[in-house]
Formats: sequence, structure tokens, C-alpha cells
Amino acid sequence: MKILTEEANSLTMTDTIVALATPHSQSALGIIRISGIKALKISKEACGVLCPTPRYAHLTKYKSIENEVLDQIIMVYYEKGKSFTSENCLELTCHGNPFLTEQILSDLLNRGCRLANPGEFTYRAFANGKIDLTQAEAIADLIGAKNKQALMLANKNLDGNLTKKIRQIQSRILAQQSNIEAFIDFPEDDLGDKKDGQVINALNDISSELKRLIEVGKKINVFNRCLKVVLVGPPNVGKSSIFNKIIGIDRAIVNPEAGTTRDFIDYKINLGKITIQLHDTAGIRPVENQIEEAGIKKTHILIQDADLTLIVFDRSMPYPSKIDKEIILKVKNKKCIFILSKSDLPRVVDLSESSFRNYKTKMVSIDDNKSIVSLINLIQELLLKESTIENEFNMSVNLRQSSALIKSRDAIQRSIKILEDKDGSEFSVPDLKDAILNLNYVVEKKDHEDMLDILFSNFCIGK
Amino acid sequence: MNISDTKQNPYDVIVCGAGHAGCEAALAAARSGSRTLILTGNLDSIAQMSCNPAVGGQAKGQIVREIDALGGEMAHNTDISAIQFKLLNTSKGPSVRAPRAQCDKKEYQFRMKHVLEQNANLEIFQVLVTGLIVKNGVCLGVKTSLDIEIYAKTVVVTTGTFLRALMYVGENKSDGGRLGDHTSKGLSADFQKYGIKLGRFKTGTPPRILGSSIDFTKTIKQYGDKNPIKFAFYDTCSEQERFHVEHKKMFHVEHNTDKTSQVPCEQTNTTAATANIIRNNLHKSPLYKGDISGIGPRYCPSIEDKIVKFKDKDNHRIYLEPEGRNTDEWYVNGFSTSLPFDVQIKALRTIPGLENSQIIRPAYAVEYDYAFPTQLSLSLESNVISCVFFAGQINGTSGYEEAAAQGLIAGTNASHKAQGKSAVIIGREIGYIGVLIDDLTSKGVTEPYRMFTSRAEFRLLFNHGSSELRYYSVHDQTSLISTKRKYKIKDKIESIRKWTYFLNRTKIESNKTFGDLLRSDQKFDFPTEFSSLSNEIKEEVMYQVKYAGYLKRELQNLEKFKHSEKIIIPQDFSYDGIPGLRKESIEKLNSVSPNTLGHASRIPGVNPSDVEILMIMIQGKSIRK
Repeated sequence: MKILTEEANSLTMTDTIVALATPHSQSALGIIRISGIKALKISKEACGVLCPTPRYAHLTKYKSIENEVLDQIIMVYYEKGKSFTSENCLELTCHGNPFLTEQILSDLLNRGCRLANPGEFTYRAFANGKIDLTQAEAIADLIGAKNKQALMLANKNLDGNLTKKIRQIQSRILAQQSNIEAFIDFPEDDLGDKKDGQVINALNDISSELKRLIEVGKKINVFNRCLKVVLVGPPNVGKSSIFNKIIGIDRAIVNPEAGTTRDFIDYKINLGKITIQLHDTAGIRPVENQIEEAGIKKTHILIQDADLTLIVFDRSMPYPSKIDKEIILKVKNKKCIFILSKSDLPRVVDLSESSFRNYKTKMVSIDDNKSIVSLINLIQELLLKESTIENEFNMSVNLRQSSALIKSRDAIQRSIKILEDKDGSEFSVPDLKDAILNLNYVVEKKDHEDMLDILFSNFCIGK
Repeated sequence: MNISDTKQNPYDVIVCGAGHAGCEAALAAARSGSRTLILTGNLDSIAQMSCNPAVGGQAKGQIVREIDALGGEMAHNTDISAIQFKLLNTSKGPSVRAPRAQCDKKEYQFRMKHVLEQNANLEIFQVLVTGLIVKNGVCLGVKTSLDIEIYAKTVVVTTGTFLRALMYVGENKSDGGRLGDHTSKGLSADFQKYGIKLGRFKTGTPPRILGSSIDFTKTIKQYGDKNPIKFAFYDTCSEQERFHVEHKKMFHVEHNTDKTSQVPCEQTNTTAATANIIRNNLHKSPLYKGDISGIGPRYCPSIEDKIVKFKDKDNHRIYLEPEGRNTDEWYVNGFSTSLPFDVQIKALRTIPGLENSQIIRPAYAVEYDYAFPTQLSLSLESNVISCVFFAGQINGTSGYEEAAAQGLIAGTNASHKAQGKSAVIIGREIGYIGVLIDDLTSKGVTEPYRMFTSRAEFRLLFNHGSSELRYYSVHDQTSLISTKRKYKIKDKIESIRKWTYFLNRTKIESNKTFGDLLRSDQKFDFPTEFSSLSNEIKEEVMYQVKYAGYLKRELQNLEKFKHSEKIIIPQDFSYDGIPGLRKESIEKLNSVSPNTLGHASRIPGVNPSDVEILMIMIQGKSIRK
């Protein structure tokens, strides 16, 4: 059943919907539910189960669209007609780490699923004749309540900064629409010069602002995302010891997961408010064979993606060598900590070189727990600091909001292209309306009347 | 038929008012086979253009073509009485181009009156309607100023601006909906007695001046188009086939439309001196003194509004438009005002070309009652009193075209109701008339409503040339156009479909189709068979081929839209007590009582989650049954 546009209504039954069925918090297990036509495709492509047996617990691995293993899971398939919603359904039971479940959800969205709205699973069950009216009333109630709650949350969201920002952007898009509409609907009025160029510039500004907001969503939401921390350095400096020490601090909730190669190991751990994925890397040394060259390349890629790089040096050795300088070059303008290991041995390393000065350094001794705790504090401090420094908007962007922002930006990009192609400015309007509609999803509805208000206050109409 | 004895033998339809809405309503009712009576307070002001002497313009021009597609009279009447044609927005794509015509006001009126007089099913009578006869919530007829009660199965109210109408010229205040005409005092109270809610709007009109007092050396001539686009579709219904008073040689007008015989308009502008005079006299404007409480249209502000709100603008454009071929009366477009007469003339004379102008009718503002259109269903029948239909300015709209469109639909539906046929509902996806009626009934009005192309979700599909194609399916339900014309429209649709397919599929050079070449603006020769088609067909095909990508997307959205319109909300559906629905939404839904889920979603303040809840409940109720 399709009503309004695809984005505008949750009751689009042709979409495959996904949702986390368990609370979004640290727990033993997390269950993700999937309902719709894509269920079998996901079973095959993400879970590696080609022909799932209905109602059978398949132990398997969940692989992302980039073919990266995200978790080991239990997958249960419920066939069409016999599931809760009466559609093809999957239930993925994964480890109950909120950042992990979020990653899987995110991947499911990449695969073309859509986040379910409140009560939508039940709604589908209802629409497919699986439940009765009393239950329907219960869903209606739920949607109403959740909607109120969502509005409250949105307004509370760091003093409503995000909501304010989105409202502003919404108005700015409306203003640009009105700049176009004025020249379409009042061709004989004295409106001054056509504003197409100005509109394109303004839309580009809006688009980059949206982009920044989307980036903020990606970057700062340290509470929703697993941050990458990479340990690098020459061999035998004590990287692995440090690695073990750090994960040892939080062993209780460690979620062990083997790396893809013998030389690359990573662990997910919770450090207070944030979660990090700590990567240990092969030691970097002069390249002797092709395998090692590949390993070094991978290390460099890890550094590139890292939220924080920990560079380990042996305090007792005369560094930096040529290789180390290479590493330093890679971390330029990136967040990193220089760890001087073996602090119990006499100091030889020379840190007077200018390239070191801008970075934090930390003395660490494996046998001194205090130095490890202090390192962990520094890691937390730096990662949290980023969240406030780079978060110019002082707000957080959740998954649903950022998906609305992304769609809105795409629509604006399309409208810019149409304006640049000069096919006629009227053709750019459907995309602008689309952009506004998507934002209507996260803030209050703005419509044609709001556009007219802006138009009539900006243009002297009435020839 | 004897008007004084209709109790036993009522008319099918009575239309109250003979403006643009009333004329179309009466003709539609009569043409669809109903015995119809049209009542007017003044036979000499039938189809009068109370304001500017022009029909069409952006969005309105499209409406007039749609009226023709539906079998209305306005388009043809305009074509015949026009003294200048102009297609607006030619620098943009076909969907937003709009035809407009300057008309000979008197000729327009005379011809329309004559058309009414010629219809065998239609009677005309001059009398003031003072009230409705209502029993048990059903309207049975009208009361008149002659103390005659006239009975009918249905009544169409098209009383325009005449309800409790007040005119203002500065301090001077007088009764009347138009200079020289009456006001209708009793009808408002009567409506309210039955529970119809009324609001108050204002509008205004500029002064009319004598052409011989204008210095045309100081103004810029505005010519019409050399090859005019007319409003009626003569390719499917020739002039000879149209309901025509001219055939009977009873009425004859020379109508040449080439550039030389068209009459130009003139352009000038206000000056700093104009602004000064107006600013210094603002305290005398009833608008600024607060005498007028009604809300005026933002798109048609008075000159004092323009000068106050846009003070940085050095001058405001003024168009001088002739009111006809056989008069020297000129309309001063852009100078609507309610300032006292002495200020009007002083300010007017600061405009280049108008230094010695002589006003022959003063500008004035008029304040009037309108009935909230949210009290109507999509057929334009009142939800408060059954068998009464409302159309035109009484519904809070402005513009001849908007009025005529509503009249056409209200008249058709009044006739259908009288004959026991189902109502004709024009959806928003069909054209501007659908958008107009849906906006009025679902959203209501906060200022006099005028159509803008931006109000239409599917504007790109609403190019004026495609009107007949879009409204074709409506004629399954109506008898407003001849069978012959219906077949011709069907052929036209087929031909367009065939040629669009052909151009999109046929390759002519290096793997490129005609469509590819057209879209990349390359030169090529069309097949001769195509070139020999009518312009109407060729233009539509080229539009559909050239902008195929944009139109495809618009069509996809339209399909989705149609789906939500198919989910009907039962008439007896109760919003009270539905869990999860917000109080404000329940109130809004109760006052509008939407027909479909799509309709509900367009009500301001009804948010998407309310719509979801409604959908669940509608389905739940249908399962329970």
C-alpha cells in the first residue's frame, strides 16, 4: 500500500523494514528484526545462508556490504505467511553491544532496507490480517505516544540546537524555492533581475551546510559509534604488550574478534562513555618481501581511517629512524599520541625534532599499571575532545536524522544540476520540495503556505 | 414556466447570481439537462468584469483552458471578446506558459448574456435573493425581494462580494458590492441562522480614467502576440460547432486577432512624488486607520501597501489597459487604493503620462462576507445544508477564472444531484480546477484565494495544451461536451501517444532516436507525416518527448498520490476517541471531514503520524464490518 511519497509515509508496504527489537544499550544479546521482500537476499548476501531453513537457528557471520565481518550471529528465518508480519522475516541475534548493532543496522540500510517507524511491524501484521482491531488500537496509541516522545527528544536534543539548525535550513530552502516561484507565477511583475545564479549559490551553501551536519553526525557521535584507534610502530617496541594491557582493563566486556590476518588483531572495548576498536598492527620495518609490503600498506590505510593513532617508540633506542619519520608523515594533521615504552630503561630517544612538538607524548611501562591507566585517560580525553572541538553545531545527529539530511542534500544537489543545465527553473522545484519534505521528517511540517509567506514578504507582487 | 408557482413543480436547479461563477453554473446545469433558473439582482451586470478587463494570466489562463476542456463557456467567450492576446512566460517551459487576453468588457457581458438567453433549458429573472428555504437541513428553494418563494431541487449560491458589502473611498463609506450595484444584507444572517460560518475579506480596484486625458507619448506600448494562443480548443470543437449566438445573426462581432487590429496596453510607473503624496495621506486610508478589518490579498496589494511595505523600491509599475473597443475608459492596473478621491487624483497625476488624467470612476476598497469553504464537500455542496452548492467569490476566492471554474463544477453537481446522478469530483492530479476545489475544501482560506502554479503538486503535467487530455476521463460522467468532440479528443490522445512512442523509439542517426536529438537540442527533420499534424498535437508530443525524464518522475509521484486518494474515509467515521490522535487533529478532522486519506493529509496541522493512525483505524473498521 503506497501513500504519498515513499519517504513521506511509513506505511509503504513494499519497503523492507528493519529495527532493533532489544533496548539500545549494553546487554548480553541484541536482536535485529527484518521484514519484507529483501529478507532472503539479506540472508544470502549478508549472513551467507543461501536457503535458510524456516524457524531454524543458523549460526553464521554477518558480513557488511564491504565484505567485512561485523559479528558472529544467530539467524532465524520465518517464511512468508507464517511470520509475525506475514512477510518474509529474519531475526538476527548478535552481541548486545549498541555500537555493533548500530553498525549492522547501518549496513542493512546500505543494503536498501529502511528503519521501521514506531509500530510498523505490528502495522504490517495488522494490514496482512494477522492481528485484530484491539491490537490495531494499541498500535495507534503507540504511534501517537512515540511521536510525542520523539518530538520531546528532538526539542531536548542539546537545547534543540539540531532542530533549530534543521528548521533554519528548511526555511532557507523555502526561500530559494520562493525565489524561483516568484518568477514563474508573477511573470509580469517588476521583480528585478532573475535570481537563478543567486539561487544556485545559495543552494550550494545549503548543501555544504547539510554536508557539514551529516559529517557531524558521522564524526562527533562518539556515543553512537565505535571509534578506531590504531597502534603502530617498529617491531619489538612493546605494541602488543600495550595492546593487551589496554584491553585487559576492560576484559569483562571485551568482545573478541580475530583480525583477518595473523598480523592484524583488533578488539572492541568500552572506555567509559565511548567505545573504541583497538587495532594492533604488524611492526613497521624496512621492507624485505612482498607480504610485508602488503602489511605496511594495510597499516597505512588503518592510520588513514583512524580516529586516533598511537605511535609506540622504544625509549631506550636512538629514534627516530627513517621509517619512523615515514609514520610521522602519515599522521600529519591527525590525532595521535606518541607512546614512549619501556620507560624503566634509560632514555635515548630524541624528541626535539619539530615534527614531534605538536603531539602528546606519554611514557608507558608495561609493569606500571598507573602509566597504562593514565594512557587510557589520555585516549578518552582526546577522543571526547574531538567531539566538542569539531562539533561546531553543538548537537548530535542520530541515524534517522542523518538519513533525512542525506536525502535532503541529494535532492538539493539534483536541483542545482537542473538549474545549471538551464532546462527551465520550474523543473528544479520538485527536487526542492523533496528536500523540504525530507526535513519535515525530523522537524515540523512546512508547506506551500510557508513558501508563499516568504515569497510575499520578499517580493513586491501586484503589477 | 411560472416562477410564482414552483412548489409543486420545482426547478431542477436555481443559480443565485450571474457573475462568472453563476453563468458557468447555470450553463453547466442547463447543458446537462436540468431545468435551470438563474437569478440576478441586475440583468445589466451579467458576467461583469468588476476589476481588470482581462481574462487569463499565470495559472488562471490554464484554468480557462481547462474550463473549455470541461465544456464551459468562459474560454470561447473570451476568444470572441478579446482585444489583445498574449502568452506569458514564453522564456520558460510549456508547463508554466499561460495565455492571457485583454477583453472588451461590454462585449464579454453582452455575449455571455445572449448565450444564457439562447439556452432552452435556462430561464433568467431579475430579482434579489433574500434567503434560503430550508427544511430539516435540506434546501428547498429561495426567498426573494419580490416576496415570491421559488422552489428547486438544488440551489447554487454564487453571490460574489455582495454579502454585507461595504465600499470605501477614504472616509466615504457606502453599501454595495460594486460601484453602482446593490448589497445583500439579509442573506448573510440567513446563512448564519442555518449554521454556516462566515468570514470577512477585502479587495480593491483602481480608478478608471479617460483615454483622451492620457499622454501616450510618455508611456510604453505593450502589444499582443502576432500569432495568438486562444483559450478554447478549436481542434476538437470548431467555432461552428460551438454553442454560438453568432450563427443566428443575432449578435455579431468582428474579431480579428492579428497584431494590427489588437489593441495595445500601455506601461508607465509611479514616481517618488507619488510615494510622497501617498505617505503623507496614509492616515486617511481606511486600511491604515483600521476601518477595514477584512483581510486583503497579498498578491494584489493596494498602492499604499506597496509603498509602505517596499519603501526601498523607487517606483512601481503601472499598466494602462483599455476597457473595450467602443469606449475610452482605461483601467489603471497597479493603482488599487482606498484613499480619498482628492488624494487619488493628486497621486495619479504624478505618474508619467497621467499628469492631466481625468478619473471617471474612483478607486475603492470593498469589504464583504465569505463563507468558509471548508464547510463544503468536494462536489461544492454544503456540508451544513444539503442541496445547496456554493461557488465563486463567496467561497473566499478572487478572480473571474477561479469563480467560473467553481461555477462549472457546482452547476454540474447541482444538476447531477437534481437528477439523482453521482457527483463529479475533480482530483488534484487532473488539473488546476481540482487543485482549486481541493485546496478550498481541505485547507480553507486565510486571504482571498488566487491560483498559483506553485499550488499544484504536478505542475509540470499541467501545461495548458494538455487540458483536454487530462479532463477526458471526467466526461464519462458528464454530458457537457458533444459525443463528436469526445471522439476527437480520444483520437488526439491516441495520436499523441503514438507519436511520442515513435519519436522515442525510432533511430535516425548513429544510434540516436528523434527523442535523443530533441533533448540535446540538435537540428533534424521530423517525418513529413508528423509535420502535417495539428499544432496542438505536435506541441504536446514535443513537450512529452523533450522533457520525458522530468515528466516520468512527475507521473510516478502522481501514481503514488492517486493511491492515497483511493483510501476512502467512511462518511460516518468518528474521530473522537481514537487512541493516539492528538486533540488538535481531531478538531481539524471533525471540522473538515475529509473524504480520503490523501485529503486528510493535506489539512494543515494534521501531521504524518496522525495520518498513519487514521489509516490503521479505517482498515480496522472495515475489517470489523
